[in-house]
Amino acid sequence: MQVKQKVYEFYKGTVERVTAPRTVSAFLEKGVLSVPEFILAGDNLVAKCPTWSWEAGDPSKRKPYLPANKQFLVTRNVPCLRRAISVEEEYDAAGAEVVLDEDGEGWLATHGVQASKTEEEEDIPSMDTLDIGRSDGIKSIPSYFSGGKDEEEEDIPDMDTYEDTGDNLAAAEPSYFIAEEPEDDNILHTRTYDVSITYDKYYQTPRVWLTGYDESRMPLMPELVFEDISQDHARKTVTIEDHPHLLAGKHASVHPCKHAAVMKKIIDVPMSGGVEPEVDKYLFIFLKFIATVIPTIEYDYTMDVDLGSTS
Amino acid sequence: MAGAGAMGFPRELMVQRIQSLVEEGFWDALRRHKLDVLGTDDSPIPITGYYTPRQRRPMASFFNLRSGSLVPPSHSSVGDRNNCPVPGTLINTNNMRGFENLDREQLLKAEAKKILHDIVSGKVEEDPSVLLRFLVTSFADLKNWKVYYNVAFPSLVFNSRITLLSLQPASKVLTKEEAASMYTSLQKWRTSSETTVIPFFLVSISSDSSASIRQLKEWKACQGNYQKLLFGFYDHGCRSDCPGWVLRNYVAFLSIRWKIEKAQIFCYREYKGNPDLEQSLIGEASFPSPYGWDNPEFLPDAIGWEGVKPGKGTKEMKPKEIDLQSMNPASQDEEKQ
Repeated sequence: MQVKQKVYEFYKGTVERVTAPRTVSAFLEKGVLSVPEFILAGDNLVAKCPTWSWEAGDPSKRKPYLPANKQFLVTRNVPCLRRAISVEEEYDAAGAEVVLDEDGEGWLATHGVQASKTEEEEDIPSMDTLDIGRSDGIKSIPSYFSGGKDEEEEDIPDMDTYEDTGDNLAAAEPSYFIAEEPEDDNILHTRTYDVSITYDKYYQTPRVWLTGYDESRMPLMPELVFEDISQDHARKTVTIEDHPHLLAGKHASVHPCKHAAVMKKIIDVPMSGGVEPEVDKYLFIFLKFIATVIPTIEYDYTMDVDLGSTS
Repeated sequence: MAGAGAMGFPRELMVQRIQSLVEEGFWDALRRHKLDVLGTDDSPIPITGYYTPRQRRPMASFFNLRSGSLVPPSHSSVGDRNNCPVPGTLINTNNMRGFENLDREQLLKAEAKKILHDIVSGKVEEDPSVLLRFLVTSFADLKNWKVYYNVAFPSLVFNSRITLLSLQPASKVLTKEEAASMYTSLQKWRTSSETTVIPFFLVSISSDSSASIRQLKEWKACQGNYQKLLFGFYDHGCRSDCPGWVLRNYVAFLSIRWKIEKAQIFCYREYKGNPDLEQSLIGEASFPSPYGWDNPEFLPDAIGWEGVKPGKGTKEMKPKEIDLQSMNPASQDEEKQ
C-alpha cells in the first residue's frame, strides 16, 4: 500500500513537473480550476470569510506558478465540538435523512441538522469520554491527555494542571504563576483544527488538509483525526500525507480525485436552469461540499451560496 | 453566563488566561535550527508568536507558534489580520538537567522588566505588541524525538488593587448609532493592512455618536475631542464575566505611562471575522497608581507561566511534552516495511 502510494506520488509529481499549469478556464465544462481562477476564488474567500488567510508556507516548498504570498489558504483554531461518528450514530438512531435533497443537489446534511446538539456539546468535548486509551496501533502519549487515569502518568512529566482551570479562583495572593481568574464554569474544552486549502495541479482542483489538536492544544494523532471524518470517507477518500507547503507533521487530506466531477455535478444544477455560476464562488461551493466529509469541523464559508450571477 | 450574576460590582479584576497552541512545525523548525545553526549554543533566541482577537463562538482564541516563528516577522506574512505578530524569547537548553534547573521565576521577571522598560520608554506607543511579550523554555531531546517545554505570558503584578466597576456587552452600553458607527470603524481598522495587526487602540466617540479608532501614539492628539474615550484591545477570551489576559499589562501601561487611574475599557472580540459587539465587552476599571515603579531599579513581580497553579514552586513545574516521532525518517521507514 505504502509503496503503491509512493509510486503514485512520484508519477503525479512527474506529471505536475512536465505539464504547464492550466491557464484556460474549464470550470463550466469540467468543474476544474485554473491557477488564476484559484487565486481569484481564494481572494474572494478571504474577503468574504476573513477567518481565512493566504499563506506563504515553507519557502523550500514554494510552487512557482502561484504568487509567493498566496501559496495556500488557511483558517486556524476551528472548533470541532463533537466526533463525526457520534453524529452519524444519531442519524441512524433517529432514522434521519442523510441526504438533503430538496434542491436535487444530493448534498449530505452538514452542521446543525441533528436534534440534541446542545446537550451533546457539553458532554463530548470532555476528555474522559474520548476513547484514547486504545494502545493497539495507536500510540497514545499520556501527557497529551492530562485528564486520564493511566498508571503511565507517574513516570512521565504531565501537565495535570493546565487543561483544568476549575480551581483557579485565586483572587488571593498574587503568585508568580497564575492570575486571578473566575471559576471555570463553561469554558469549552474541544478539539480544534487548522484547515488549509492547496491547489492540486494534477487534478486542477483545490485540496483540503486537516491538522488536528486535542483538548489540551497538543497535536492530534492522525489516526484520531479519522473520528472527525464522515465514515463514508475515512480511510477511503481521506488519507494521511505530507502537506505540500509545510515541512513538518502528517496531515489528513481529502483526496481530490473526485472533486472536479462533484463540482461539475453541483454547478450543472443551476446551469440547467440557465444560470451560469461564477468561478470566484468556487471555494464557497467547494467548502460546502467538503462539509459533508468533515461535518463537525465548523469552519467559515458563506452558508447561502448563490451560484448565479444575480448576487 | 452563569457566575456573572453572583459577582457584583465593584470587584477585583479577574482575567481569562491565554493558552498557547504550538504547531509541530515550530518544533521541527527548532530541530533543524539546532542541528544546522545552534549546535550547543543555548543563548536566548528571539521568536515570534501570533495573537488574534477571539474569532469564533463559543471558544477563546489561542496564542500560536508556528514554523515561521523562528524567522523575524518582517520576513513572514505582514498585515495578516489573523496573525498579529508578537515578540518573544526562546530559551532552549541542551539537556534535561539544564531545563529543569532554569530559574523560571527570574526568567519571568526579566521579561516583565523588558515590558516595564518598554512602557516607561514609550516604545509601547510605537509598537503596542510588546505588551504581549512571551517566553518559551524548552529542551529539544533530538535523540529521542521529544521536546519538553513551557510557555509563559509575563504579566506585571500591579501592586495596587485593580477594581472592575462595570462590565457589559458592548451592544448594551452603546446606543444604536454609536454601535453602528463603531462597527464600521472597527471593520475599517481590521481591513487595513497597516492597523489590523495592532492589538491595542483608542476608540473615541463624539457627541454626534460617531466613533473613530486611533493608534495609541495619537493619544495626545485626540484628547478633549470626544464624548467618550475607550481603551480598546484585542481580547482573545470568550467569557462574558471577565476580560482576557492582556488587559493586565494594558492597565499597567495606562497607569505608568499615562498616569491614568480610571478608564473605560473595550474588549474587542469577533465572530466569523467581523466585530461581535454582543460579545465584546465595555467596562470601567479603576487602578490607583502603584508605588515604587518610578524607581529605575524597580523589578516588578510577574505572573504568567501557563498552567501552573498558585502555590507551586518553579522547580516542580511540569513541562509539556511533545513527541516528534512522526518527523523521524527512520520511524517512517519502519512503518513501510
